[in-house]
Amino acid sequence: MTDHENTNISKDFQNISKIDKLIHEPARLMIMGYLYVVESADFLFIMRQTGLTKGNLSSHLSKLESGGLVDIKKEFVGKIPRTFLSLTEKGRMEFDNYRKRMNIFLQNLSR
Amino acid sequence: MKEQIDLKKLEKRLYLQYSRDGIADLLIGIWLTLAGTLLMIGQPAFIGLSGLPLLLYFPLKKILVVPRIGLVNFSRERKKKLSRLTIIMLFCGVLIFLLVIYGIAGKELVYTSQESILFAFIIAILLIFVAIFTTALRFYLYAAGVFILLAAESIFLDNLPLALVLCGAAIALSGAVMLVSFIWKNSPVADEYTVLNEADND
Repeated sequence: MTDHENTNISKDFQNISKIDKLIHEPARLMIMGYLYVVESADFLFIMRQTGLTKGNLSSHLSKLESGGLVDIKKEFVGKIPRTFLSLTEKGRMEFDNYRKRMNIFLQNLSR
Repeated sequence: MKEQIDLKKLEKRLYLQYSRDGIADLLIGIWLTLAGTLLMIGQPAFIGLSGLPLLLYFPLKKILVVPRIGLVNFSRERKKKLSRLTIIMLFCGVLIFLLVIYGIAGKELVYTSQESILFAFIIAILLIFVAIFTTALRFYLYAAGVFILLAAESIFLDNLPLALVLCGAAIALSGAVMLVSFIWKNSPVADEYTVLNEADND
């Protein structure tokens, strides 16, 4: 193996440290993944899909919201309050970046 | 490329899960059963009314599905597909209506085998479109079943209304079984206010 190849591999490994840790957490990654493929969903739908408890989901959503990745809107449907969740533009972009970085990292790992 | 396919699969899985409640099957089944019954009792002029149960789709979804698995807005592409499906359903409904009117005007309520096959063809095409746009494979099965039963009727039974009632009842029964199973598996959540208050107390 040449010195050049060695440098490339270590660069690829170092790139993993640049990964967004806010998204990288498994529960938050699940939430981001589900919200990425739909336009918006309510709290109950995401809770059912991810299998997270109410408290857990609520706390992960707060973190994603404060990071500017998820938009949380509270609306009334009739007399029933509903919380609608959607990814912000930044959230979509960050999720795309995350996927690309992870993909490159995993591809290099399997070389 | 692979990652895109995986996300598409995730979206499809979510959509299928959201539409696996049997409401569409139940209402399409009731529609065909009512249409067949109206022809059977000699009231074909009211066949247009047999499509009215389809209007219950969204209210039923709101009452039975949303409190159980929540509410989701799918992508714009998916919404466009559903709008196209609605237009096609209306078009097929009008075709069936015209065919029945033609049957009334032409002669007594006895349909020739060609007319029966045309009926079978229109209903099967309609169900195939439902299958394509909703990606629910069971509708292909319904389409094949309806076509075979209505085509066989034109050869052996010569009783289109009875065949329509049988097809409709079979689809409605399948939908009812799915709906009961969906309700059984997913218990409703009182309301989100309770959910979030409980979350605060956790």
